[in-house]
Amino acid sequence: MNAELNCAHCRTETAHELVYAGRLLVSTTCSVCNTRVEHESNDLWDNYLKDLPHRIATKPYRLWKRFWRAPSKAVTALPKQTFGKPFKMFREYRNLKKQK
Amino acid sequence: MKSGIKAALVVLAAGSGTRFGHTTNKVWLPLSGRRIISRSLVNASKNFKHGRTILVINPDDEAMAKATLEREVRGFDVEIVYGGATRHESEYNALQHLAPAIAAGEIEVVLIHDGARPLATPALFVEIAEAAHRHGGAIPTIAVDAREMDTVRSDTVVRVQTPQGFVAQQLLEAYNSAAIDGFAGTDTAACMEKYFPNVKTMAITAEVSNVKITYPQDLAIAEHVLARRGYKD
Repeated sequence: MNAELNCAHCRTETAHELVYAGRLLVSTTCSVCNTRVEHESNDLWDNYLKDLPHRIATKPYRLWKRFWRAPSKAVTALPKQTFGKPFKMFREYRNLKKQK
Repeated sequence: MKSGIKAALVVLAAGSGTRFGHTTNKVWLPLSGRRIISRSLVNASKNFKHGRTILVINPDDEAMAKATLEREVRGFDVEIVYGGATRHESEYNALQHLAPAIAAGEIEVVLIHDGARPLATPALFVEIAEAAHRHGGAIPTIAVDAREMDTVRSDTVVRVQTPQGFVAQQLLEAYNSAAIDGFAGTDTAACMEKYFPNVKTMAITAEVSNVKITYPQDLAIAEHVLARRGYKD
């Protein structure tokens, strides 16, 4: 994902590439000077592991909300999302591992 | 406890996200599972019984705004208004949208909030609205440590945040006058100060955690604050 943020090195607003693992930000890289800002790896693992139970606990409610809002869309998307989940988790793990 | 003040909550998110090609305005970034703007909108509206919530956007972001509102902001209506080229113009457009309701006395106080401040708590919005209702205006402030400044001053210098709240009728008049004069203030309080210098603007002590997402590290700070709050507010 790309977004405009201020770069402390360029001292101006530039495009940044953002990498997420799950709901947490892993790193940002300035597209002009390549300055990379990242979570300290232990801290990130710690936060990720703290966030995971919260994600799991709120999943039924989030799924229910999705069904309530658009039942047919939710039903048709569910198989793809279910099978895609392990791959999504693997990508998150890979992004986190890159930080180590 | 919900406030009974008739307030309009204007959340500004009209910044352009296309200056550098395919980039996103930072207000649409995810922050601990929900977009920054959703958090700003929910916190702004949460504690008002008679609140009207206005989201000011760049017209290019309309599809994303509608999808985000449908997915993440539920339980209250959000009115979308197109912003202008500057912050001042966006505020003016929002006030013009509200003008009939202000004239009819349906809105007592207008709070203008920067969409990139997702950690302003619902309690802060109520505090600002109540102080503005009582005194004319209110802004959240943080006292600047003398060591942060490169000049010696005997008076207290503060860093101003948002939401900034003012009595609706006067705020509308100030922005109408500014439009005639071609004046553009740096923030809401600057415009009020110019056209209603006698209105008392209360400085409400705000929280340091009410950061504006500007630098990449602000996102990390915001994630930490949300985790500490248990992802509430």
